[in-house]
Amino acid sequence: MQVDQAIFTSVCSGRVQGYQLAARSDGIDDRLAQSLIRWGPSHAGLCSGDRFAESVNFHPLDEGRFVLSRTMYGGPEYSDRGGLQLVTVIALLEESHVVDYDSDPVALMRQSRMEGRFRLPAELTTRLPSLSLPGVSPSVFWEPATRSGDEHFAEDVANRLSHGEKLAITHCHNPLPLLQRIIAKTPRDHRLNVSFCTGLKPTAHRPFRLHFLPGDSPDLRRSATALGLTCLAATG
Amino acid sequence: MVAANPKTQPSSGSLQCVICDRVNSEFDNFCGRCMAPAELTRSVLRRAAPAKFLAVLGESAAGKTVYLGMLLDILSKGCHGLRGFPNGAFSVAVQQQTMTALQDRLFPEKTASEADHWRWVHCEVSAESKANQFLDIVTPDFAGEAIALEVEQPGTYPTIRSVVRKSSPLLVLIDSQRARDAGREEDYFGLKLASYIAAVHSQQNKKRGKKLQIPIVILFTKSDVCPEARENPTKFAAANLPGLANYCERHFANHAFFSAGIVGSTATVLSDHGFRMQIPLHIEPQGVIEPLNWIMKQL
Repeated sequence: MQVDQAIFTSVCSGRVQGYQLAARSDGIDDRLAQSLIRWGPSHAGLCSGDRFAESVNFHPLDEGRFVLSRTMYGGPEYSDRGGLQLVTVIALLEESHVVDYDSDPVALMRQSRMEGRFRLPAELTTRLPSLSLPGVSPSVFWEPATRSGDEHFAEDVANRLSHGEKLAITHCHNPLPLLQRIIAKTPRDHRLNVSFCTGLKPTAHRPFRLHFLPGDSPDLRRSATALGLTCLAATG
Repeated sequence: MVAANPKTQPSSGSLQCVICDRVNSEFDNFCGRCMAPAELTRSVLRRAAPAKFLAVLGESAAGKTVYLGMLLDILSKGCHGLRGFPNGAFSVAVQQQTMTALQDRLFPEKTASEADHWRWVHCEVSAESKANQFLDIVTPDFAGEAIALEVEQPGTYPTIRSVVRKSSPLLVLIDSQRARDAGREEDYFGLKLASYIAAVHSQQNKKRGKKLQIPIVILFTKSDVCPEARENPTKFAAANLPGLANYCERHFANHAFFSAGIVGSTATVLSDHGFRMQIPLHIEPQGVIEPLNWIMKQL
C-alpha cells in the first residue's frame, strides 16, 4: 500500500532553521503539514539519552487519518551546540491501512521495519516519494513472549484505557511486547482510540493516551502527573 | 502597552492567566491555552503595580538563551544604575543554565520547541535613581523555530502571539555574523518578524496609519566576531538588513539598533561522538545592558 510520508527533524534550510517538516511527499499539503508539526518531537524529546534509543508513536490526525512514526537520534544538531538531532520518520495512514493489521499499529510497524521502512535517511531531500508499506503477512501476528504477570498487567491497562484514563507506564525498558499485549487485550473497535508513544517525554503538545517511560525519573514522573497521566509501574 | 492588572482576577477557585487571559482552575499547573506556568501568573499578580512585559524574540541559534541568561546575571548584581530581582524560583533557571554552561566552556543546549518545556522568566528591573521607573522582564526562553513557524503561519504557537501582544517593549535578536555573511535570509526573517509584531499591535492600536509607539530594540548578537555590527549597529542594519531597517523606520516611531557579544571568541572541537561543536573560550560580555538602559528611558 502506498501512503504519504514526511520527516520531521532539525535542519538549516532557507526559510526556517531548526526543527521543522524537513521533507514530505506530494499528498501532504500545508494544512496537514501544520498538524504534523504540532506533534513533532524536538530537541531532547526522547526520554533516554542512549544513542540507539527510539520511540514508536501512533496518534490520530484528522479526517479519519492516523500517524505512525518512529523517532530516533540522527547526527549532530546542525547548530554545533552539542547534542544529537532527533529524526522522526512519519507515515500518514488511512483507517483501513491499520484495520488490515487487525488494528494493531505495532504489528504494522514491525512488519514495515523488517522490510526496511522507517529507517534513518542517509540523506535528506525536501520532496519524498510516497511510502510503500507491506501488505498483511501472517507472520506478523506472533505472540510476544511475556511473563504471566504481564498478562494481568496488560489487561488492567487495557481496562483503564477503555475507561478514558491516560497512563504512563514506568520502569519499562522494552515496551513493544507489553504494548502489543495491551493492544491484544483492547477490543478491536477501540484500538485506534489508543494513541501511544514508547519513548517520548510527556508534553502538552502531544496528548498521547499511553506513554512508556524507562526507569522512574522524578522529572518525567512530575511531567506526566502535571499532564493528568496516571503513573503505573510495569511488572517484573 | 497592555499591562497585567492584579485587580481583575475572577472569583476564587480560578486563576486568570496573565499572558493570554484564559481562566484556568487554580489547581492547574499550566495555562490550558498558552501553557504559561501558573506560578508565573501568581508571581506577576503579587506585584503591587501592573506589570510591564518585555519579550525577547529571535530566530533559532540567534543567542536568546545566552543573552537572556547573561542579562539576568548582570542585573542580579546591578549595573549602570539598573538592578533586577528574579520573582520565583522558576525565574532563575535560564540564568543558571546559561552561566553553568559558560563556566564549563559550553554553550547551552538548543531550546526545545514544545511550549510547555520553555523556561519562563519574571525579573523585576528597576532604576536605582528613579523609584517609579521599572520594567518586568516576563518572557519564556522561546525556541527560535517556534517563533519562525508562528511568523510563517500565525496561530501555530498561540503562546507567542499572547506574549507579543502583552509586551511593550520588545527585544529582537539577530545573529550579526549570519546577517553579514549569509545573504538576505536574516533580513527576510527580521522583516517578517517586524511585520508580525506590527500586525499584532496594530489590532490594539486604534490610530490607523500612525506609527506604532511601542519601543523596539533590534539587537545584533555575537558582535564579538562581527566588528562591523559592534562599531555602528545602525549603519550595519542599513547595509545588511535594508528591508528591516526601512520597515522599522516606516512603522515604529520608537526603535533603536544595538549590538552585544558575550564570549569574546570561540573554538571548534569534536564531541565524544566525534561531532563538531562550538565552544566559548571565555566570558566577555559587551553591550548586554545598554539596550535595557535605552528601553527604560522610553518608559
